[in-house]
Amino acid sequence: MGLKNHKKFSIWGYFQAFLLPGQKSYAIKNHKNSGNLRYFQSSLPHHKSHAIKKGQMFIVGAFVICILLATATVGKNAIKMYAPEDTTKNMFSNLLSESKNTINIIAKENLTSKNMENRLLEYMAFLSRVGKEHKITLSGYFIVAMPTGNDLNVTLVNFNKKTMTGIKICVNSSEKTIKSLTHNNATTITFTNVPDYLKFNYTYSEYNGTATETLTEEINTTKRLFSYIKLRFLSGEDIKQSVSFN
Amino acid sequence: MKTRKCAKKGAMHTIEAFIAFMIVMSFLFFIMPAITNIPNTTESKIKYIHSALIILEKNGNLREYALSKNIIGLNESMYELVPLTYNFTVGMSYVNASDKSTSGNYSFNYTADAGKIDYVFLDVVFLSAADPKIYVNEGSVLSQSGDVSGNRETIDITSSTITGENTIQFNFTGTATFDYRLLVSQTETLEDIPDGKDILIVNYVLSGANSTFRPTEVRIYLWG
Repeated sequence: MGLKNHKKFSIWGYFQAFLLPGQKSYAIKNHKNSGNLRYFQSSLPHHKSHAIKKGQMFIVGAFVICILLATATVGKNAIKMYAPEDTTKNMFSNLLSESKNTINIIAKENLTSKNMENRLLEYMAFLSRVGKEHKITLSGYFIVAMPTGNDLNVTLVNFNKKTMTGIKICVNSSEKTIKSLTHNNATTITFTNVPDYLKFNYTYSEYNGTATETLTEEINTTKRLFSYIKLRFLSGEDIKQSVSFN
Repeated sequence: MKTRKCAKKGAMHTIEAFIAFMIVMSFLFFIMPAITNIPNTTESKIKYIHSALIILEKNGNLREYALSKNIIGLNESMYELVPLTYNFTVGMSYVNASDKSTSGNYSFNYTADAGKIDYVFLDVVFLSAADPKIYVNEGSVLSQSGDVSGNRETIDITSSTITGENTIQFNFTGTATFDYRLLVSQTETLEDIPDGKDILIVNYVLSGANSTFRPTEVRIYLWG
């Protein structure tokens, strides 16, 4: 009987064994309508139980292997491309976000102006060295405000590759000027009795090579620990610059 | 009759096994390359490695590895994230920084591994001082005469640094007050970087973790 059925084996019947039960009955009906009824009545019932149990397991197995391989590969390749296109951009975005973390880490370590000054100078010495290895000239400054009781200490760290002059810092109506600060140096000024809600403003003018550029940043805040970071990257003719408030 | 039946069954299974084999092979050769799409240009490799580093940074592992100087952990994580066809090794360059405001003749110790040193810088700001003399492991690295109050000196003491404990000694005439800052940068790599190949370095800078300040540059060296 089995041998007889094998003789009547057809490709159509063979692949029908893979169909789902609902699909199978639909296929049979269609064949009934098309006059192939006898052929199918004799070939299908035997293939249904026999073929899927034995030989076709190889093929089912092959499909399972393919699906597993595809799933594993797609999963491994599911890394999103966060990074911008070139190394300078990568490093710029990295340092920009990391500089914010740096201030938080230093503040957690020891929230004093002296520690902030020293650590930021150490951090910049480290970054200058990293930049040099990647042929990037790094410059900029940090302005960090920190609470000391009712007072507010404002630290300026200069790594601008030049002496910074005439930096005006204003907290509410009180204005102070840092007359001069050499490169790779830091200083702190104190504003006394600063209320919870404060207006902070700083103004700094510098010559950028072609013209004098005046930067004024102002913020109304209740934060007592905040910072402005200016980062400037120079790599060949590529210049990237950012001033961020944190 | 029974033998013929078995032979027919065997033939069917052979055909099916062959079809299954062909399906798997076709999948491997024609479909897998389209799915995997492993970036192989220099730029895309850099991009891919940088993306992997960002993922590790976002989930906190990179900071942990940097803080504990766990190069092996970093290497394992990178292997999980980047295509197997990439040739790379990992390294870290970290800075141990110390600073102090002090006065008078003063000495302190620091440790280093000469085989890993990138640089050792001593930065001194003389607030009020005269005739400063600075020694590293008893060798002179600075000797000045006269009043140096307000001066600043950055001294490269890399060549004077030895493996193990090192001593820095400050001597002055009279009372002196000064600030010093010491930066010891060391680099470790998991394995030797192959000679004679173009090496690409993809880096990621970290400043520390939690309340520990330790600037670190994580480096992935790529070649081939």
